[in-house]
Amino acid sequence: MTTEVIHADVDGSHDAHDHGDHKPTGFLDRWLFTTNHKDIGTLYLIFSLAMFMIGGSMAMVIRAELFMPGLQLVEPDFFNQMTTMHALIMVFGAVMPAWVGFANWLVPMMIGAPDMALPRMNNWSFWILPFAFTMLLSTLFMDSGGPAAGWTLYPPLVLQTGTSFAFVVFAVHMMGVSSIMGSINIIATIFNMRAPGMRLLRMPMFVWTWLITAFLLIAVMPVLAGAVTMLLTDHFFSTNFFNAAGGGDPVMFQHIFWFFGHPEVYIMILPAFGVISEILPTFSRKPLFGYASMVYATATIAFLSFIVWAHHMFTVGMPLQGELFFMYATMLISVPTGVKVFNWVSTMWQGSMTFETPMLFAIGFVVLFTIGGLSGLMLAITAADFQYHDTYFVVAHFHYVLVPGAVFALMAATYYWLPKFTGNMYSEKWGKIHFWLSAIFVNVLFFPQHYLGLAGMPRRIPDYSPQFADFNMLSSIGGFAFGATQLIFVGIVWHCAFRSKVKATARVWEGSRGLEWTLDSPPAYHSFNTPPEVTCNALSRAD
Amino acid sequence: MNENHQSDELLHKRANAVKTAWVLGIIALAIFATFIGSAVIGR
Repeated sequence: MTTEVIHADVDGSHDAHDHGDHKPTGFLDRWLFTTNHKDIGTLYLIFSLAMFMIGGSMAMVIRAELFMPGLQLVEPDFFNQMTTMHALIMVFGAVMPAWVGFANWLVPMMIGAPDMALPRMNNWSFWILPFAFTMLLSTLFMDSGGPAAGWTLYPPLVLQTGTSFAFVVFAVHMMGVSSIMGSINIIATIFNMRAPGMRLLRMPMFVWTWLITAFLLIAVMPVLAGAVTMLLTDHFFSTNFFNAAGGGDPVMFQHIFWFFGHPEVYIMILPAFGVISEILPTFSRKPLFGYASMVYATATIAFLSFIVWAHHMFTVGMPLQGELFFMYATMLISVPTGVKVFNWVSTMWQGSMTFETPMLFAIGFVVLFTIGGLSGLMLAITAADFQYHDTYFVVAHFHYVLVPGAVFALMAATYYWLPKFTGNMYSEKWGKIHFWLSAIFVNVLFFPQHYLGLAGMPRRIPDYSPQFADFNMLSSIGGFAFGATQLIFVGIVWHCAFRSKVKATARVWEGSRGLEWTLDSPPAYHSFNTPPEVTCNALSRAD
Repeated sequence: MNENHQSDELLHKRANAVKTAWVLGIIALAIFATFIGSAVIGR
């Protein structure tokens, strides 16, 4: 639409000549006391990678135990601790901090701000996390063991956890505080720190999706905090919020938990939508199709995420009207999601596409996430859900949404922006090997679980009937191979950061647009000290 | 002690950001209190 010459003072290199490259010299000053958004982003990403390794190791334990029927390797209670901790770590320790890491790196650069609005709080948001997860993981070494009732922490089962439960609750509180402070910072930054001319509807989609995600976080993390606080007092202070014998109601916990839990799903996936909306136009060499409709679709998905929570608990029993409402409201989400998929496909349509590794992961996301979305529609049908509920079909569904969905988008984002962050190019050959092995094995891992669920295999069990043996063995082989494949990813990132001799240009990709690509690769330690003037939509991709 | 390299414009933006943060923080606390409070009253 707008074709005039881009006119903006966006040359970040001038920063290097004043105080743009003044970094703290000591290790502690640089990393422990840092208030720099790039350093804090790096810390988040390294922390998230470490959590992916720990959570992934737990997944390997689970798949090893399920390799064949019978109890093989671990005690049933430890198996339950593994499923619970795997989920808690992947959701709160891996996926969410990874997105916050990318937000820290990218949001200020994308909107032309010198840093986050509240840099000291940014430091505090990050440094809470290692303590929270050390505390959570330490429960595995306590006499009473880690939580074993599933990440949903349903009472009354979760109240059977021993004294270590207090550590779990406090860890969840700390994660929540970190998330809320991070979200406040992102909203305050986007609302107050944008460069002149960077109007809201000129912002890159990644910034938009994070803005909406941050509002979701502020709305629902306090709800989770309230729920676990009530669990804490039920466990240790003889209250009866969820204890039926004392007049409480365990189903109330499920309502409160899923009022948090369903938006939480979108907290993990909306930034992924933003990343895909950045990458597909770059490698299709076309503007994003339907930018404004993408923004409105994201906001619509966020709104609807608040009114669908009970589709997670159809089987607890609720009035027919309630079941119908939650079924139709859930199905309604497929409309804005369909708008997004349509826009992504239309962006690629007749584009001059090339298939570098970020593009491969982005296309893999569109295809495989859509499979997860379709199985979600099946689960939304109340009558059918009575068959699917608590089976491996549900496990297959949400892993399709989260692994080839959120995790593939994280991989795509890493390959896309890593040259910008490090100043070096990664190995395209190894990136493509990583993609193809991941794409093959993630399907070997999760697709058979659909059949297991439809055949009636319950989730969260360490042993199963012999009729499920073949598909479980196939799934475990896929799991081991997928896990091993991710070691390639670690090697690629390490090589890119420390060994690669191929330097990245400022723009990195031929089709890339946006303020971050106007800075050097790597950008100066302090960028955009002088705010750029955005006078043209072409800089902001909204054309 | 710290040298302040921030321009007046940036300081102004950051002051507004602090106000935004207070509002959002109070909203978060209010949601927390509402859920706990309604559960207590409901019991």
